[in-house]
Amino acid sequence: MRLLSRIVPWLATCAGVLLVGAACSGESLLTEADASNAPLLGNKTVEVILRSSDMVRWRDTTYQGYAIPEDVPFQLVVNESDLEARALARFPTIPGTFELDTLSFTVDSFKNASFRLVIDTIRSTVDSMSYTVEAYALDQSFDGPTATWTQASLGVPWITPGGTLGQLLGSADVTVGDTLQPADTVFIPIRGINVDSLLTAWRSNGGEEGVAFLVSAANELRLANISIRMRATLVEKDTTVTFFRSPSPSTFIYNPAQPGVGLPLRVAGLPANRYYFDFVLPDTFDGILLRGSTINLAELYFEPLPSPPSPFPLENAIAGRAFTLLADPFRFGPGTPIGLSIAELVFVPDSLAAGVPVTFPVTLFIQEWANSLPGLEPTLRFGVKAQPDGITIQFWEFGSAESRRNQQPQLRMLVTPPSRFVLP
Amino acid sequence: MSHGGGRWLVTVLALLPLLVPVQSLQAQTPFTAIGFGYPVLPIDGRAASMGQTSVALLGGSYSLTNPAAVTEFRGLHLNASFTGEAVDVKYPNISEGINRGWLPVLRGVIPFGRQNVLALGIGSNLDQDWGVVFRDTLDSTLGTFPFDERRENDGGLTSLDITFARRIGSLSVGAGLQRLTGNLRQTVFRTFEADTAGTGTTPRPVRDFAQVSYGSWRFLGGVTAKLKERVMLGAQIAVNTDLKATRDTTFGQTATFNRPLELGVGGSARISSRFLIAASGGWTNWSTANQSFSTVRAVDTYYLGGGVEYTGVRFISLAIPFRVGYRWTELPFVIQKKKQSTESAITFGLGTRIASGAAAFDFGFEWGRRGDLPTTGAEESFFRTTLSISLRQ
Repeated sequence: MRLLSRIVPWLATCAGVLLVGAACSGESLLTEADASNAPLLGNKTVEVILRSSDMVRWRDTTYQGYAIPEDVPFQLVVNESDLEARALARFPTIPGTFELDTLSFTVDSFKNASFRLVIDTIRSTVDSMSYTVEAYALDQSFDGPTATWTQASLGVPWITPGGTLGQLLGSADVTVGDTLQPADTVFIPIRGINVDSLLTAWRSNGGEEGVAFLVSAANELRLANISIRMRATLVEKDTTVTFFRSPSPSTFIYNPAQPGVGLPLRVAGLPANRYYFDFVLPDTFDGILLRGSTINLAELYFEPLPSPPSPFPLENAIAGRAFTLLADPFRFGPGTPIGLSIAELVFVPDSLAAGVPVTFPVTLFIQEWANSLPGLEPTLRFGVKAQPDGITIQFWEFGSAESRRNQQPQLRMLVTPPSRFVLP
Repeated sequence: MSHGGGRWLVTVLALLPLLVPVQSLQAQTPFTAIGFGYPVLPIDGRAASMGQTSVALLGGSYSLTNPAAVTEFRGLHLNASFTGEAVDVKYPNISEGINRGWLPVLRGVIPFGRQNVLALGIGSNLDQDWGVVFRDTLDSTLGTFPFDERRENDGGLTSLDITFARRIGSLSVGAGLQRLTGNLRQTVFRTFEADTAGTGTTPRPVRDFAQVSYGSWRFLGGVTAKLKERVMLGAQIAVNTDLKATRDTTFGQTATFNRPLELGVGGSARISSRFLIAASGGWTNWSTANQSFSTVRAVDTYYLGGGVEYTGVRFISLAIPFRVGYRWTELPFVIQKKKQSTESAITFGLGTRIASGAAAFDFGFEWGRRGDLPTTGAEESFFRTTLSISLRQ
């Protein structure tokens, strides 16, 4: 007890002095203006640029067909020197009855009908104050998914390329307002043919062979919607009713066709293109340790190639998306499931034409690789596409692994190798 | 207030704060970044105010230097000391004031029998605390990114001391065993700002660190001789084993560093009833560690100090000893292609005893300078305060 009474005051005093000391300790650091004179060792953050040929492995490819003209929510009707396009439609659901609440009335006869075209005025261009839109009956049936400028269906060519046109069903002269914007809705009345006979025949034969829509020269129309408006009398009632029906199928064909996919990486277009790639990084590059380092920033760069041939260079900016791939695209092909969205992209024609690369960040993915042990690396697989697919027939191409070195895809990184902590 | 009550009053006051772990506090000077760091002597306030004369100081010193010197204490003694230092640092391109502090010594002296003394203590040894903050810009094709970087070393060496001493007539002999232990945590923090071009891109920060743990043994021997309680002479020797440093890596990377031999002599004398003079000097064989370094070199050091204590002043019945001194020492670690740094200081201080001598306070102040920027590569001027609180039976 006596010893305890001697020890405790000392311990308490020591504790008090310790706390006073701790409280009085300052943590003021030297502020060094010049990093080169700052002592201690911290590895610098350096920029590392790896091209696809610098990787242990880089594979890339373009897959096509993610959207076709039949799938997209627009049709093109174009008559330009470098591009022609015609919208094709078939109306198989011509009504025979009129339903009103629980009552059903039989259609007696069709009095008149018009094709209604809703024009996307923002994406359409006309060359003059007036233009003419025409509707022709087709003399040859077509298949929605496979019709092109040269073939009506798979393996069956058009008798006349661009759709075998028959009788002119109607036309509309459109006068543009002061703003030179096309009218947003155009009606093409069916004339010169017995409307009732035509629609009755469509009702019985499923709308065959269909209708083609054309525009006069030097105009480019992007249609947001095609439908047919019909006015008919009823058997049971002395009244006239109006019907609207949408076509099925509805597509468009155009000439020239999209060039075949080659070695470059292509995005957008119709059929829609996506490019997929995967790569394996080296542990060290140019004397800089990558594995085990801090990846401060990592971005993939894709160098745009010169403009595609007319009429395919992008004319308007389109959105795009970069994403991860959940499986090996070189094993699963176009159907490779896609994973997380990494970044929203914008493909701006002027920038692409000027050679400004398309980039998106992959910092966390590369850091995950850098943190991994050899043999347990995460697979780096990504893809790029337009968002949505098939928004335009236009596209752009980028350098691939087979391109010249200065056009190859690049991974640019800011890397900080582990600091060299030297024992004093 | 009774004698015992006064002692417990100090206890209560000391218990009010919470306990904190003993650790070397922040110190940021270039000297702590050179070689093994800055030697921090385990000196109490009284010795510090008299030119760091602790080898043979009449009246006793709690410093962990000469193990034989603990026989100056009669009865149970407990001491805790704290040092704070304000430093003006001059380094290439900067001149800046910083603060640092450390606990030089905690010691308990336990006599047993009439001639034997046991002492337990903790003392400072080497300070490796250092930190710098700077700002720079990284230019790259990904953008231009200003960044702040903070590099720190936190750590050092502390000695855990057990000393045994015995009086043999007018002589005292002592032996001490110290375990030198400590660790060093080195960190680099680099934080980037957004691209100055306004892209919004901000690189991820860098967070890097390493930790080293130290271990070594130190064997001390000392002797003092007193002449009629008016003159005291002493000598000490310290032998160190190699310092083993182990990195905190998976495979426990280890490095071994040679540690020096230390010799010291000193003495003090009462030239009158109110005047006491003291002096110490010594040599440390730091050059033995030279092969351990690649960017600095280690060289032998000498030190010399002296002081005077005057006890003729009283204030409200309290005796207030006044002390003044001077010291000079060489620093062991030298930047390549530079000269060895020296440190010198004018020292002064005072003390008092309260509660009939049951408690004592000693303040030591040092005003000095170390290094010379053009020749040694670093320079600091400093003002150091040491407070010692002692309880005695």
